Amino acid sequence: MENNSKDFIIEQIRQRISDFKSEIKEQNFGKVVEVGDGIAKVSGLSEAMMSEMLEFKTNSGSVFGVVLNLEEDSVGAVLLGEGSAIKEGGEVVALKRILEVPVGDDIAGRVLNPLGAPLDGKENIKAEKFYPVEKIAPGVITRQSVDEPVQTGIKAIDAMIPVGRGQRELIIGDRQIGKTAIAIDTIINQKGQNMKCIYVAIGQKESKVAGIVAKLKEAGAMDYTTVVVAGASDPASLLYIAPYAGCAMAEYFLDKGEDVLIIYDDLSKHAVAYREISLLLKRPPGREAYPGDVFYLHSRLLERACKLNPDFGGGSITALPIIETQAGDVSAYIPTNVISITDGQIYLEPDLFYQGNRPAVNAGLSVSRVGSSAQIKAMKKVAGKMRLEAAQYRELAAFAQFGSDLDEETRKKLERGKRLMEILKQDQYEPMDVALQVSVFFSLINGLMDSVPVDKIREFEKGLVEYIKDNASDVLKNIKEVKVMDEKDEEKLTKVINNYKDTLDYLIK
Amino acid sequence: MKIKAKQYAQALFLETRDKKGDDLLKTLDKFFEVLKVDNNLSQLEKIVFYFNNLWNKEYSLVEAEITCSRFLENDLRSDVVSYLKKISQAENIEIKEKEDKKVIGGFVLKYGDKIIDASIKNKINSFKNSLLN
Repeated sequence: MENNSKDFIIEQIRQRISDFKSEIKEQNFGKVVEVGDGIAKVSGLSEAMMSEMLEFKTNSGSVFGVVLNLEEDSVGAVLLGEGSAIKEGGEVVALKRILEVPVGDDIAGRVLNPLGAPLDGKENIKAEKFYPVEKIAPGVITRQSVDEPVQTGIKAIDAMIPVGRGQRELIIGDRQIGKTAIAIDTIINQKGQNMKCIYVAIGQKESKVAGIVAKLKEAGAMDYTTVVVAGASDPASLLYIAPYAGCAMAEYFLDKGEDVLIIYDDLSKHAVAYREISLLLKRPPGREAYPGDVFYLHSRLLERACKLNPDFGGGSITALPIIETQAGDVSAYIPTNVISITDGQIYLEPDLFYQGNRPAVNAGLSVSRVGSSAQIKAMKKVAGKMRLEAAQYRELAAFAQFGSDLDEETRKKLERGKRLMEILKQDQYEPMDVALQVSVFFSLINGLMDSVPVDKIREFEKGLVEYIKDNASDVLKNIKEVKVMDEKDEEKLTKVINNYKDTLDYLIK
Repeated sequence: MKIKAKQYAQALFLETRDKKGDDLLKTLDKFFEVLKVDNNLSQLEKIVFYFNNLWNKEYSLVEAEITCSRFLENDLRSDVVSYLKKISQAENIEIKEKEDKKVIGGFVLKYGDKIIDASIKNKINSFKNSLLN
């Protein structure tokens, strides 16, 4: 056996030796005029293309760069690695290749840098293909409207701000408010949902990324997830290409007709990295010192999220970009840009967060422009009423602060609303299955929770979920598979919930 | 108005094109005087660079450099020059030779901003890369 495998290896090497062809090619070369801050100006290179790879030859091996500026008699490039060995007058060769990343099925479960090199200490990616980092988004003919849901497993989002496959939904909020938590919970909830996930960390602390990877591993989510990391200590050029590289990896699965979820965490740092590069390349600064094409920077990235029609494979890329605001200022440059590009936003509010409403989703300011077409029928039925109740509660709660004498109807609505707010609270790393969500919402909007004290709601919900799992599993199965809840199911569910309530002693009589 | 190095080079080239001997030296003196007045002497290096480009273009001249592990014999050199004339479509070739043991064998030929690397060193490197990947 051992001999056999040895022979096999020798045979393979022989094959490669006989296959080896050395080609002598005429190449375009230039000389370094200026280098510093991760930027190089190169003279010569009269045939260089935009975003072509350059090889800087140094005494300690080659460093690669990408062309970003084409000037009259020089070329501006960013370095994709450590540039301290590059000297003025050093030789630069144009490689006649646009920047590409290796893609393939074995990127799942890996932690990679934006160039596809492993960061997890495992072997190199076996590249099935190379995909260009920059690519024009799919056109009108190939697309289809979004009609399938992404189950985030977060009650507040799945009910009120549904996200569909192929949608771009922005997660926006201040620092330390649970933006990443929503993204990670969503990834965890994709288990068994036929979805590949790509998490792109841009300018994050390596410790935070390590924590996320550990959490994903623990939840068994790394089997279908790729993490692309351009850390805080990486050069701005890597931060700049990271989301495009992640998207190229997603496009590999898209082309195979699969559904992909990609998270860009976060695009404010991406814009900052691009600003750094642009200013160093001496492009004129505009508002907040960002260059003129920051809008295009993000629009061309997010346009690559799509839902293709069945003639073109029927795959989808769902993008969840994250934007960090400064002190809740959503009218800054980058947040307004990305809000206008995406199909809706999930707005996280500090006040809600500190009141203990976590996830701190502000249901009033958050929208999903795709709407209920990205919900299953059963969810549509309950969520419509939920949204109405929530809106009424918000209005009344503000109004009720002034008067104490309220009529019966208003009081009831307020009580229901309080319970609703309680129901939307959810712990981190505990996404909930859609069928269970429907059953919980069902019991709320039908008044079955009105007799539960507000401070006991979460306890009640926990118990109820277990009880339904044990006693009404056929209803759950129906919701999951047929995606509707008929009258028979509703009756049965009502009965089961009432049975459960009979076992409790803290109900309001 | 800021005058660019390229514009100085063009002016100088046009001014000196048909001049010889003392006339040429006088023109050069005047040119430096102009640079001094304009406070642009620091641009000199760039001006020379652009001037060379203009000169080479006008007289159809290509500067080339060939690096080998040992110096070329005469008939081989004339072969290289005629080859260069063919690929660069220039009438005059100015070739420099360099000896470098590191290329092991073959040659590295540079002309204009093109490079033809036919050295054994390059072949070994690409062979190494093809075995590693």
